Amino acid sequence: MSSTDSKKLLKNSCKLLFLCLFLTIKQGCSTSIPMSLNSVQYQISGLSDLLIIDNVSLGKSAVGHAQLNMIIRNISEKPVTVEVNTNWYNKDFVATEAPSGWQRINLSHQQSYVLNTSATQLSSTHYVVNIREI
Amino acid sequence: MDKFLFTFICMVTLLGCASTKTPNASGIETKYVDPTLESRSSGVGLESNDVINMTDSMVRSILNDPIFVNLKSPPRILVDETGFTLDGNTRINRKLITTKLRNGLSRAAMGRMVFVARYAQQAIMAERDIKRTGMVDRGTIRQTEATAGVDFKLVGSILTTDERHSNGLTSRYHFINFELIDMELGVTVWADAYELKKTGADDVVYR
Amino acid sequence: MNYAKQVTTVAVILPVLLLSACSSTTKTQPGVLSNLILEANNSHVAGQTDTKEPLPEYLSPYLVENQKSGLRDQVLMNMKAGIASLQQGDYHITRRLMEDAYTRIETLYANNDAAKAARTNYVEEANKDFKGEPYERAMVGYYLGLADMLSGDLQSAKTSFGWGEYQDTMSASENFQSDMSSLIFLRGWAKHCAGEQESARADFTASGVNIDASDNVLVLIESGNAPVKYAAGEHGEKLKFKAADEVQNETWELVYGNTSFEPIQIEDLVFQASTRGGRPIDAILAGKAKFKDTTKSVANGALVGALAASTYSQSQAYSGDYNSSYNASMVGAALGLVSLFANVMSENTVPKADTRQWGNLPRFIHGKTFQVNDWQNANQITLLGNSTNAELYPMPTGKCYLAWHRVDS
Repeated sequence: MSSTDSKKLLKNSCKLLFLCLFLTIKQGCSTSIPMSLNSVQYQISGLSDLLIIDNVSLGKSAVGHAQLNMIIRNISEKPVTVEVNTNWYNKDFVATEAPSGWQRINLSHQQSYVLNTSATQLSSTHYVVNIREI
Repeated sequence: MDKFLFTFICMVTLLGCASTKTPNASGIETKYVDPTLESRSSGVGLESNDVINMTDSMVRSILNDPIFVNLKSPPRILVDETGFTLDGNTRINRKLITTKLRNGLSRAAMGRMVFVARYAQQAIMAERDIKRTGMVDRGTIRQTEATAGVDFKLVGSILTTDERHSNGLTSRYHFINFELIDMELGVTVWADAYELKKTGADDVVYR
Repeated sequence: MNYAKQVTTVAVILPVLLLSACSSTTKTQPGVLSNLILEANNSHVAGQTDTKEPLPEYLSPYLVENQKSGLRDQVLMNMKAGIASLQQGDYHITRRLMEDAYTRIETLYANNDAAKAARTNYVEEANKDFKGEPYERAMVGYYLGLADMLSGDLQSAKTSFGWGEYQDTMSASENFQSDMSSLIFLRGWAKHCAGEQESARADFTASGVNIDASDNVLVLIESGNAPVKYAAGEHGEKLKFKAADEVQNETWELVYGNTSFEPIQIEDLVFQASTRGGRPIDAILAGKAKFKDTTKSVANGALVGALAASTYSQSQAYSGDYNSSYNASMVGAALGLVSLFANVMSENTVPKADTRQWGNLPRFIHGKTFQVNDWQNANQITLLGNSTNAELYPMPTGKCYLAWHRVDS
């Protein structure tokens, strides 16, 4: 390999390395996690360390509306009080009805709560559950 | 000795003196707040977030009850405060609860049920009269023999029980009951409730 | 700086700091009485009563007082102005004022600076926002319930009377808990007028005042003067109650058509006030009184010591022992400072109990129910008493009627 080729190779490698570094940094600097359908969103980041979500199931109510069941468990050492609401969407992430009210849940250490909520429209097929701390 | 004396005098001075901080001395600018959030300066009664959660919960419960799905035509429902009683220590505008419920149901039902506007009955009868006397024309939609009869009427009650504890805590448990009554047969076709308990303590100067 | 100068500096600066830091009251916010009255008049349905002016003249004294005392006495002003409005027939104003009082009494004052300050030694109890003693809070429920009934809202009237009765259960040590039978009776009456007969009967039984199921008129007569609150004890740290000097407990007769009725006494507010039992704040006020006495004793003792040291210092100086003289004078100066500060603390300690009171309450409430079938020819009732006669005009309250009268005392 001639010295010119070596220089070209080095230059391209540096460019590639710089590009990789830039993309990595950009990825790491990004703070917004895109919201996805059928997910649980915590309004304060620390909540996800205090709670776990288990046994999520999306079925149908007696009239055919989407019905969501999930268990919310407090895995921390202290009591936690949160409020939970549900937003319903269609498959295209378009809101199909008004959000539900904020339901208050008091969870002592290791306590679980079964969230059971139903949509009011047949077009509501997907959910996003929001949890906020009081 | 002088440092001790100085320190002693300062300590005693500070121990005896009251805080003269004035709460919100310069006022608080009016601003919009989220009605779904709990208000921090409150008692053990009902607040806006309770009314919002309660009515939303009842809307979902009603619209997921199969009894209203299998009817031949959309049922006519009367939701107003006339059948809603207060049986506790919480003073609240019953019309606020029933209007919010009717509003939420009407929007979510999207024609699967219709709501009888009995609160406007006088105005309706007056309009029907002047149409039939020829004072005004017949309007653009059909005329009917009579106004809508009610299939199901909302009744309910707000029940509370209060407790006082020896440590100064007071608590109030609310049980807010909602029922839809078959106005022909006279039976309850749907029932659900919203319950909550609040506790707090007043400053000792008020006990 | 030598020791003498240090002591002098401390002696000058610290008392100034002490006195300026220890105020007797915290500031409060402007009162809202005028806003409440305007709200009541603006939302009032035309034709129910004749309210000629947005801020009625008869409420001026209360408006003036409310501007001076602010939110600290808001509940008290609402109480007083509420009765004045009812006497003038402006029950819609009574309703709004008592509703605001209800809301403020229901609010839990946790972490409130004025309340905290009222617990400290140098701020008097009356610094706190007024909520009233249990009998006063209960009477908010009474007047609110009456105004609700006159407004045709029997459901809210039930709540108001029941809430008022609950306020009377405040004291944990009280032997006469839940003894405000007048409010239990009135809650039953509101249920009776709303058609809730079964539930009404339970309340009548509990109150000990029974009615005929066909009764549809209630007459309430208020007379006498409000219970008097006064501060007792060496430093006024004990809150006590007594009857006003002039006590009128008359017997009354109601005449309707050819029939006469004798109302019965259903409430004595002096009894309610004086059987309240102790208050948790009483222990704090007793502590304040003790602090006042203790610091006074320290001040007096230190003064004696300072004088003795001064005398000793002089004697040592005469005998030529200047070192001992100097030391003794320093001790005397220090004791003098202690005496000064302790005296200032004692003088500024305020253990006085809060004697703000709802002065235009009645003492006695008499009541009577009976049946009237036809109002057309006889819609007035005559009240006959030892000191006064009056004509009463019952007003509709649901399927019943209510006549309320306050006898001037």
